[in-house]
Amino acid sequence: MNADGGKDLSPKSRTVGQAGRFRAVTEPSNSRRGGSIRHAPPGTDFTWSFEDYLDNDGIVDERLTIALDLTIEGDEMVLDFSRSSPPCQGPLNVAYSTAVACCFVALKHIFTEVPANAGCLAPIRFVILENTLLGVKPPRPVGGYTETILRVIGVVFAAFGKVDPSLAMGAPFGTINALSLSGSRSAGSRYVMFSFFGGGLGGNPVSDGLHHANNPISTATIPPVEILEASYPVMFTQWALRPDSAGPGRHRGGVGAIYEIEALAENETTAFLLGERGRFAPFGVAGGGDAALNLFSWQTEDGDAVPPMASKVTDVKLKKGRRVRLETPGGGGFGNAFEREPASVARDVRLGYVSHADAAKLYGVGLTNDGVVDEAATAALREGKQA
Amino acid sequence: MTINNRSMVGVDVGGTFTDLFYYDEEGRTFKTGKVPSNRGNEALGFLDGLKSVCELPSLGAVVHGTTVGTNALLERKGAPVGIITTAGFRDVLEMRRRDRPNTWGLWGSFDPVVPRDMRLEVAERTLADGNIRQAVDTQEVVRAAQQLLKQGATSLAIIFINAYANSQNEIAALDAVRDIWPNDDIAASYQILPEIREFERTSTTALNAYLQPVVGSYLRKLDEALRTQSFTGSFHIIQSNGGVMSTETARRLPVRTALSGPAAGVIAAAALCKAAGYENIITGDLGGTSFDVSLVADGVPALAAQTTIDFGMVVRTPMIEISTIGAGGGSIASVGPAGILQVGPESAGSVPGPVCYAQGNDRPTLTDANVVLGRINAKRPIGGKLQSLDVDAAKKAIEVHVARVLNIDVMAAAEAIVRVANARMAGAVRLVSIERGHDPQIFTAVPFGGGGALHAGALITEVGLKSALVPRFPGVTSALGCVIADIRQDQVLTVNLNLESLDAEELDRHMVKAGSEAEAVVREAGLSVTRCSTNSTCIMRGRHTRCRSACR
Repeated sequence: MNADGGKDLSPKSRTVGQAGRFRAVTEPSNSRRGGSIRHAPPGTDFTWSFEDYLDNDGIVDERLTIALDLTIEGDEMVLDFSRSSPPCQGPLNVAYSTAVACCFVALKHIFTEVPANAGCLAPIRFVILENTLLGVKPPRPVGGYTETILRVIGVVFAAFGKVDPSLAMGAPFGTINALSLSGSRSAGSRYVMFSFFGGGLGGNPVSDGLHHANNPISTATIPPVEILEASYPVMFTQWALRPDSAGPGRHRGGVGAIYEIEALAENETTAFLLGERGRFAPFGVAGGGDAALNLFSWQTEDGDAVPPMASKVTDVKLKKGRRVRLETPGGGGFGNAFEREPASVARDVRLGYVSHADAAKLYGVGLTNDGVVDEAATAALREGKQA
Repeated sequence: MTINNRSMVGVDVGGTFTDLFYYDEEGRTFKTGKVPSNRGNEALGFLDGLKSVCELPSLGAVVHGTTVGTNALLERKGAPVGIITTAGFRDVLEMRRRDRPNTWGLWGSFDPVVPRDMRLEVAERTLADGNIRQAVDTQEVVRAAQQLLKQGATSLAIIFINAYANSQNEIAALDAVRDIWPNDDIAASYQILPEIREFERTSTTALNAYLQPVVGSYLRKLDEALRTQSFTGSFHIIQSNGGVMSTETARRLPVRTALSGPAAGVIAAAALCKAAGYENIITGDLGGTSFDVSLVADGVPALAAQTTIDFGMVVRTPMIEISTIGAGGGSIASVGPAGILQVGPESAGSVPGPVCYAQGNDRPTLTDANVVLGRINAKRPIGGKLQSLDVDAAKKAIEVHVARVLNIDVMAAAEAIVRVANARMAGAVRLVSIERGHDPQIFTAVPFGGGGALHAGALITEVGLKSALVPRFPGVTSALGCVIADIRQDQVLTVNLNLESLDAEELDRHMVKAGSEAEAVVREAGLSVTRCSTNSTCIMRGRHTRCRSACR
């Protein structure tokens, strides 16, 4: 313990250059708003917990829990995932090394200035058990692990946001949405168009979330529509931002996207999707609201169909001219949406990120038909909702 | 007064100084000049500078390197643009390529230069093979244009999906709105960049429209100012590819000025070194806030296909490849929370500048470290603004912010600052050389800008470069480049052809057409042309691969 009552991490790790910021997080400080640690008696250890869920594993339609108990313990921090679900039948399991690696990815996103070297790993201990889906051994299937590690990263963000609200951010959209369209071209050759799609990032203490970003695990860019259309017999009929998909907040999330694709091949086109967030939306923090769910649908003779398991489906058959439609989640909101500047809400409505209806319902902002803030209506809405 | 057609001045207007290089080809004489830039009214500094090096009425030509376009982009001071695009695609500009501002850290948001309500859709569709699935309804386009005018747009960009494959719908839309649009600031994407990739084409076309009125009025003002001084010669602009273009072309394609000044610097360095017998060089321009690196192999500067001005602001057009890191003379040295010394990217710039300038900054910079170590003569500062530099203040700043924190001697701390800066610059040099497959041992470092030469020795040692060559006038290299540069016009076109089904005649038609269009631009530029050459490069991709290679 150092002189001012805060916790220091070991001198050993300090010299290799990462502990300073981690220590700052656990140090009592008046400059930090509302950190629970400030009110706790010095010398005790603290644990912060957070849970999030996967829709299902694609085989058994039951939710899977990713649970983190984060403990700051002397000069160590412990990330304990023991309360997570057991290994699953589908491919959403994760090996121990993958789970550890994605926690470091999460920490690097939170503590951007901590250099990535071996020393920064030293004071972090993991409890990831073999009887959970995060520490599986062969022959458990892990092919869809990217969905799971996004949920792991999300709970790490959420737990640190509880430790220190100045680090809090709404959940990123958090699904890879691996969509495949395949079939044969008129000339007979086979094709597979396999792509991942974007969504919104979470609202945070400094800004609204970014619209249509990639996931925290990647910096990969999305292929241009024109290159996809030049390579495969498909035609995009929509490639757009998705209104009302962001979590509301003082800083709202970024919105997700809508991708609608028409099959052009003469022969039948087959589609599959491995996605997530069909049932558990990207969460808001610090009073912010959740984002919209992930939606996937396709056209059939009997109208639009949706996956029976919310976000995962195989063997969808499309005739020429039929379309698939993917609507991705935005990011979770940050802070109470009723505290968002009415002018910012009016701008969101003008630009079509938020509908008139949601402005009133979720933000308590009334607008005139010209899109100008109706101050009396806004006051009434905000008072009514808060009462 | 008679005009000396063989005299010209290169003018590089930077953020702080306007640099000039006068050359009289007939009299074999030259003159350099440096005057303060006049931000906001550049014409004033521009004219003052010109008068300091020559007689305007007898001057043959002015060639200008400008950052006015880049600044307008960085400061978001362009014109209100309206976009008319294909139904379903109005968000292409805002969705980017699904990237984020920083690799690490998920905060930050993005406002495109054309807000969502200024982007309208019309029903039309061209397929990837060039077939028109739905013809454009020109009446609908006219209505959209009128709506955008009503909403305050002064520039218009028409950008349709797959227009690179067939521009018929774009041409029809453009023709339809020309009659009702009140000015010439109107363009379709096929004119700006007939290349596959809708985001890059959209961004380039939108940024061009955003800059057109700004750069146009800037050039008009300069032109008028020159004429009032009885200047009757030609007036040209340096573009990002290191070539000269007419002001008419610059007004039409202002995005091509994005790297105007820095590109001229590379052209000058390449020409100087070629004359001195060095064909393989790596230029390093050390300014106040950044270090710009370029590689010239066999006398030819490396080209890049595009650059990112700021997050989400992509300009795609052939340009001299310049890699920039945030390490300049004004870069601030600090000890981070993890106990690691860092230099930059935070910068004190030129105002307030380094501590030794005594203009209000008390945090130590790279220049302060150089001054404390005696590597810069404090009694003879460059630039002419200051009488002397405050060594003691610089020393104290390093003592307080670096030496005490790291528990080392102040001189050791100053040395550490220089070493960290050297390491960062060396990293930038490695990026353009070793990491691109070039052996640094055959390259000569060519430092220019205010303090580049101070670090040349360290770069030779750290990267293993062959030698260093410091230009005689390192402070006016870009202005010299303006004088040296050739007229140049680059055109790109996506043809999406397969080798086995290649129609050689069709490809030939494409190449001849592009070549003669480019040549016409050069011929019509109004400069004396002694020789004109056309180079064609085909960029091809192996089937089933994503690797692309260029064949000349």
